[in-house]
Amino acid sequence: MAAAEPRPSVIVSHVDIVYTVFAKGGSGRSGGRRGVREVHAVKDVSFVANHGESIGIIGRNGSGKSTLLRAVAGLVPPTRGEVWADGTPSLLGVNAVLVRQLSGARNIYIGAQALGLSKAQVDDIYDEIVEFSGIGDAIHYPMSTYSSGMAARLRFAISTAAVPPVLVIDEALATGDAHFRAKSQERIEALRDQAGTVFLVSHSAATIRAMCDRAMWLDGGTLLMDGPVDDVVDAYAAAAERSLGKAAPREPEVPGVERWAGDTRYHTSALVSRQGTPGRRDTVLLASGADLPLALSAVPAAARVGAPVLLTSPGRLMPVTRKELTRLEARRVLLLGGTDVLAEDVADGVREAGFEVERVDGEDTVTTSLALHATDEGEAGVDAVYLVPGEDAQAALTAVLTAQEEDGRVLLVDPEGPTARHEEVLRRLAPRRLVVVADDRTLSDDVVEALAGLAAGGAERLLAPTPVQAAADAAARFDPARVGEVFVASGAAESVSDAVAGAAVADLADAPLLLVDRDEVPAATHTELERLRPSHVVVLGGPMAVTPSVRQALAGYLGGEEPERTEDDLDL
Amino acid sequence: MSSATPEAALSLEDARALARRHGLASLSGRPGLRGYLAELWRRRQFVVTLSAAQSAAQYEKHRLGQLWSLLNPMLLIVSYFLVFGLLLRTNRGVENFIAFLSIGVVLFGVTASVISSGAKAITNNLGLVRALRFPRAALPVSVALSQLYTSWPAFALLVVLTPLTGEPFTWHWLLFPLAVALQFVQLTGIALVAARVVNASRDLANFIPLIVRLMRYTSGVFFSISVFADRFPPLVGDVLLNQPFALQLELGRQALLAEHPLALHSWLMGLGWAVGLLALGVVVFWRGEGTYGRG
Repeated sequence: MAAAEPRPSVIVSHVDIVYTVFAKGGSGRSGGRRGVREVHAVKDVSFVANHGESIGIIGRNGSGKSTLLRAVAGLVPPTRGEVWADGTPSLLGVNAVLVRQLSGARNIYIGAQALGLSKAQVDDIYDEIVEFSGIGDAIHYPMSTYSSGMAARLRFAISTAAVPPVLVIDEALATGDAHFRAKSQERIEALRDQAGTVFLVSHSAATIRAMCDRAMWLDGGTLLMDGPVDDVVDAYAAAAERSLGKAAPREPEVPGVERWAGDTRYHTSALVSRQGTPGRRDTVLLASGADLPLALSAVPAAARVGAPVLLTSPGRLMPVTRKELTRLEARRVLLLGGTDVLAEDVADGVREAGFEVERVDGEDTVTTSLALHATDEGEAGVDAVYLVPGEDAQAALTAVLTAQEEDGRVLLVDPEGPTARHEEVLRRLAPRRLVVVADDRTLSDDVVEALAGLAAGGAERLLAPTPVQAAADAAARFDPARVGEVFVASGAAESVSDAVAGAAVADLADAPLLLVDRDEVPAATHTELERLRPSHVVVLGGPMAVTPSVRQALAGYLGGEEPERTEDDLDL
Repeated sequence: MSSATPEAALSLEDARALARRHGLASLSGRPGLRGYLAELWRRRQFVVTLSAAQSAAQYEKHRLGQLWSLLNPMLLIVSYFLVFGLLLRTNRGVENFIAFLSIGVVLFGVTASVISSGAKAITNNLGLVRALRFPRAALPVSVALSQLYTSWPAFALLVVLTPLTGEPFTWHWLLFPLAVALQFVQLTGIALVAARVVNASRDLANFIPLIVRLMRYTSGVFFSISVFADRFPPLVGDVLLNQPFALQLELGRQALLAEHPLALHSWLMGLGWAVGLLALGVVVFWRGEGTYGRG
């Protein structure tokens, strides 16, 4: 290294971040409020980032990557320790929307001025932002009409146009086509040349190797390793391989309670499919792991035709997903979404692996969900159609679980309400009931009323049942005498990806799926497990999603024995 | 390049010294009140842009557009006149009831919309809050400002309507903008408090419409408080007359109506409420900085 001392741009010193989570009601006993729980997401992390560095952050799901980055961007104050930065860092997240109801043009001004630019400065770079984003005339339409890819491109253009001293990117580069990815890589290079610092979280080791010179490995909130990118990524890959070879090395085995978990949501999805749907399948649905509500909404329709739902990265076909496709000997692979949802690289990957690719085309998640159901082969007249806000994964999960009980379908809808295409698809499906899974602030009463004419039984609102409650209600239809296996996943928002895999498999296996909290069995699930007394339980997701102690507790519900109930008595 | 974790050894004090040496700013915790206000002032263009955008969006979906910000108060004045002027006869002791009622309806309409949208300033803008770092007070302030933009046709309506009901033009009219300004300063303070409260517990958002309705019926929108106040003990009457919402309407009426003579103490009281509520709002909101949009 040169003699000059490197100039730091971000200093993170002994940072701890503890989240306070209000456990939702519904699972509380006798209407009592659940306690406040603390999640220790980041533990004593320290590092110094320098100007001109680009730093990749790797780690498993729930290892604290995103939380740490939000602290670096100044969006989450640390509980202990301190963060210093040069100027105002800019965070580029996956859900790249600023003010949905406003046009892209207005969002450019709002976003860039919030980053500290003056109006005159924005005037100067406005054209460049529009051109870079490649959005064209749509810049004058509200952002709510944008696809997730368009929105991500615009956000990227805004965040980087100001030449932020520190740019934080959380998985956002996965969206967009190859051309845009190349452009954005170029821009990140330019930013580093201008002595900026870039932080990048990605599931893809290849992306991190290509774009970063330094990497940090987080596990369970602790910084395990920090160094040159190849060293860290190699060590991470080696560890990931080891833990794949031996199932859960650190966790004691619990007889009768199996755990199916991979290192990432993609690994978990592939593993669950391998274990849960033995034998070949004609059709496989491939969905983006970055758009979980969409993946969920496809589950009931997929189950009708016996198709598993696999998650992959929106940018490319994950090797583990490809392996699972090969095992399933799929005749055709349905890609859920247009190129803005799943890049063409994914389709290329599937074709290279020797499968026939069909796209359920849609420029965003809502239109894709419509397109999927426009080809639904269900005979006329399904029992119910559930309308779910396009960004609400928990509502989608609730709907999917409730729809299991009957011949139901789940459609995504924008906050603006259903479009003419919704009506068209609803006429085709001819549901007996319509259920809106959103409160009146998200979808107004007018929308519900307008929909009433489209179903024989009218339209209604499904409020409040948490996914946990919905899962327990749906499981009530199972006869304990005939239930052997029960699937259990976490009902927490950050673990919805495990529940997606679970919902798909449980539907195909005709087995109940119940949800638990990260570190306890909620009352509704407890009651249902006591009734069902399964002979075998499968926990979906790693120990960060469902703790070893919950897995241990689940053993107590296995056939015949009196279950140990301790956690629930600890209500605050 | 960086070798493996040399920084781990850095103590908090050493890290602080390193940060100071290189002029890095702390992102942890909230800044001091003065620094916070300075930062907010630096983002004033952002606040203006955001409020202009919000007010444009408010009526964008309606075919008649901003005409509604004129039609809404007009229709409301007509219906209030039918109910309270003709049916319930709450116009006792008021000579020019139409002008009296119009000022009440328009000014209180602004109050209601600032409070109800101000309360949701954080929760409705989570996209911004989660993506960008800026003083969060910019959001409630811009919401209040955007209502000022949206309301100008309604204010214009008052200025046109009042002389039509036979009120003479006097120099008092020059005080009307001051009355509006004081009202907005007060409301900004209230919006700041409400935004923090609703962010802390969304359940409390359900009380906002209730409080607004209560204020609508007790602040003399469609009846003269001073006429009714005689029935109560003097203390209750004073409170009813001088609470900020009633006072806002009184200042507007003193500026525009001949039967409401100017009273210096009303204006001093209005100024006191404006400064006091704004200061309260700023401090309450600032103390919650760092909690907005979490989880």
